[in-house]
Amino acid sequence: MTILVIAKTTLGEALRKKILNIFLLVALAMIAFSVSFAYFTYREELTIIKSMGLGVIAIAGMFIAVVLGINLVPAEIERRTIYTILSKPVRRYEFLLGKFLGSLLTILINLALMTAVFLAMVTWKNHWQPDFALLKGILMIFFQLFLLSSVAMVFSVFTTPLVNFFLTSAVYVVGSLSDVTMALSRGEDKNPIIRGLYWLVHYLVPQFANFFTQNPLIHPEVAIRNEATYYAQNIIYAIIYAAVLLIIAILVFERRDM
Amino acid sequence: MKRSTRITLIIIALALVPAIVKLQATIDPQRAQFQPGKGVSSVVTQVGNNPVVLPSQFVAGTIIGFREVVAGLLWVRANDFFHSGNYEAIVPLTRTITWLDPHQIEVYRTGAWHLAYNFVDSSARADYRYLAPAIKFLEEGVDNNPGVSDVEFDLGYVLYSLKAQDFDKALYWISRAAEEKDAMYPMKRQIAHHYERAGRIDDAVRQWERCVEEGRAAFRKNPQDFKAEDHFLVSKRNLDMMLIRRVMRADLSKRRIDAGFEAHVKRLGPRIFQISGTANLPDGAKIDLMLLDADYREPDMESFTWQVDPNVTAVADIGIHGIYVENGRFERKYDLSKDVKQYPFKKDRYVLTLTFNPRTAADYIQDGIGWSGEGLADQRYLDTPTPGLRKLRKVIYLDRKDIL
Amino acid sequence: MAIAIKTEGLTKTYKLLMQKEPVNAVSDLDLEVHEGEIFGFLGPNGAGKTTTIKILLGLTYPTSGKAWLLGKPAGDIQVKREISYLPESPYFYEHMSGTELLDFYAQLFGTNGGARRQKVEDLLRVVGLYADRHKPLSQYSKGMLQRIGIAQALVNDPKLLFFDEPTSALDPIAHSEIRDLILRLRNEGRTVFLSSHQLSDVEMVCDRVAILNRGKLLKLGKLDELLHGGSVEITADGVDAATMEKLRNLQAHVATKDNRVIISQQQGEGVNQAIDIIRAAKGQVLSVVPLRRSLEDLFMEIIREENK
Repeated sequence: MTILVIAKTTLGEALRKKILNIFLLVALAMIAFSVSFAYFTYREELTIIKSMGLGVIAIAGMFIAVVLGINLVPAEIERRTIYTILSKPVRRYEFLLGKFLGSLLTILINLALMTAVFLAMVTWKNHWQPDFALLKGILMIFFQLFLLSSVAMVFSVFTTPLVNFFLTSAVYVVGSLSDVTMALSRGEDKNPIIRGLYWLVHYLVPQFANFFTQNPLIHPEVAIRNEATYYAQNIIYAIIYAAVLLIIAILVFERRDM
Repeated sequence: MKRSTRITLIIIALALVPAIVKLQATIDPQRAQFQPGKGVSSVVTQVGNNPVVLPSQFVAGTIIGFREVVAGLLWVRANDFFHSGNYEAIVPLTRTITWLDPHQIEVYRTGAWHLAYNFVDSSARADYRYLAPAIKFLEEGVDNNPGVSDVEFDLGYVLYSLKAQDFDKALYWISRAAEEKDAMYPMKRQIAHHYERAGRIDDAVRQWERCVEEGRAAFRKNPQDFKAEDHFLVSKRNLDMMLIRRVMRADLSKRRIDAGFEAHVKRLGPRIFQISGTANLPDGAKIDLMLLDADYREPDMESFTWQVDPNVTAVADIGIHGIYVENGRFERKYDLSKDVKQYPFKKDRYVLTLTFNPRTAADYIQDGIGWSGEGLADQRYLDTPTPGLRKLRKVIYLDRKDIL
Repeated sequence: MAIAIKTEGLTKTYKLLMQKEPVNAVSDLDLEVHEGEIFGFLGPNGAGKTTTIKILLGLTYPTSGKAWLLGKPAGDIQVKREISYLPESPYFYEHMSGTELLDFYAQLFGTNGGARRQKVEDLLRVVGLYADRHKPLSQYSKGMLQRIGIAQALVNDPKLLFFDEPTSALDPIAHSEIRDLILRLRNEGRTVFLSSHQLSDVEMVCDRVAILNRGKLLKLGKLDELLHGGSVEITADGVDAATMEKLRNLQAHVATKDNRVIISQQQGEGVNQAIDIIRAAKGQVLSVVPLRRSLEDLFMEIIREENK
């Protein structure tokens, strides 16, 4: 119950944050703008709209998740609003989980708005036939941001927002290079120590590239074998990984002096 | 927090780590199956024999998983170049785009068409050296997009048939295209046309019959399916014509026409020469010209490169170009002096080939000599490269001084 | 008497990077606050007052020592139902209105529905913000923010309240209202732990005070006792110069005013001796008045002593 109360307050505050609303508006404009390009063929047109739409939603979602996540806890400590909350019968983990849930709800609402505009554009260009398969891509984007938010959260309990921004961004970039780290960890001619390091990076850094399923959605000719299994595995991966990160965040936050 | 709770949480977190590793190991091969960009080659690739690194301005977009967006924006850029006529810039862009996203089918098709058709000389004759890269590019497109009929069809029809006039290979690719799930009716009709081009008349007839049945069945099932109706009607007409022609042209081998083929080349100036000759063929018969380096070999590319050899000369006046017979004579002046870059003439020896191929002749010409030249004879230049095909072919060897 | 707050050897040491010596924010603090009293907690900036409060509230962990609130260890989740905290210069969620903010805090105590709504309304009336209840906090003045801060501190009817600089930056009328409120809280049987620089306010409302500097407790006791036990002023008439000299020998301060002699003497045996000297010299003792120090004087004296 306390977690929900804090989540609701976090959501209310986040939805009014100017910078997040700017990201959202810019994203909406870019999605709408993508239909203005003129192309050779109908297939190309839809390809561009879908790839730009999914790309813009993913990038905007990423910025929103990072900006939200890096400020979740530090802002409360800096403004000392946390004192009036933790001096009440609120357990520290309840506070942390409440903030996390609030940020997730904010991301969800932003994603929903962008998706609505995106689907509308696609429907219009697709001779008024909606393509609900694109929602699979949005689902993956959401879980990618879910995982990213938990990375930002765990850093936010012991670093400043500026340091956190770079750390979280670095984790995102490294985690997006899954193909490269996977190949390097299996490279035959490498020093076993270096191979081992790449192995650690590939398996212990959250692999955000798992969630890049836009190619089969943009190109109907490309299909994921065992699609349902792939999606389910990714969702479970995100949940388990986030759980580990949140446990670390809770343990660190529990011992932190305010 | 109680100590016991803290320890429990630590144990749970540690226990979940192997699960994460296991899940990732399961996800990896599945991800590799459909995502563009494999391993280190997602940022470094081979262009011909040289490794090339993706330009840095695109790396940022690609390494955070937005290859498709970058590819899309680059394609928009490429379209601008088409409109502004900056054709040179387009091919490297198509390479970058398909590297970023190998599933950009339209880019493969457009890029290959552009390579094969748009690098022309002052007489709008395409640079033959670009045909091999165009074919390689589309082959790459087929490898990266299995099951897509458009790419296979373009390889067969646009390149092998219209450009290279290699109807056996054209037939192979068109047939493959027609078998894909997304194949369209015209592809199936083109199989019949290309059987005809390849001289396999009975196969062509059978294919038309199949098309007729297919169209009829589909149209009966759904009377609103106008594509099926069209397929039926066109196929029926073509089948009827083929059957009539098969009867009409049955005995042509018994009354062969002597083509009396002869051809000469005369140098008019540096890089300017005139082809002239005689052929006892109806007006409009087409004589193809190929002028190649004596040591010309079709390039054997391991991977796609658009860099053509600047020292190779290959003049190809084939396909819709060619020299047309009128009143038993043909003549054409070739002024290659304006296109030194396309025709460098760096080698010492050249081979000039003039060919008449009955399989590419118009119907009214084939009515007289048959699909494969069954009714054609010539005392000096008859060429029978494959059983059943009777062509006219004269080869003239030239030195550099004969041209420059 | 029941104990509201107790600390034993409470210490908080910070080890900062780039500094050789660790910093003792709170050093071996032994404190007892009785239930039902208003306890003043004083000290200059950096004395360790806020750190102590944070440890008591479970916001910070002590390096060593123990603390209890209402008989339970500090930081215990159940005891937080009975306490409340008004931080210095409080900041709240700006997007919320007064009603929404109090509603939010009330929900943290699990108060539900109708009871919560009524509670919020009552509190807004108590602090005089009922008319502005729908305004967002971003439009509140500093005084209004302080008042909503007090309201959130009352939302759970706490037995023990921690007020940190509750009157800072308030006008004199608001000062007076806050003082009245604190006294009212005491009269209702609540305990108030008041940390403040406003010595005049502390002097007016507190029962006992503690004075802290550099993390150490310097003085603790009842206010009356601390401020009295100073000097006594004896006014006398008919005192000659020789007698004045004898009085000076007693370590008394002798001054004349309007033909009268005023002798300031430390409380104790010296007062009687001075009176005897005056009477022996046939002088007349007009008045003997104990002088009470101000809290400010006491405070400055203690801090100066400690700094030596």
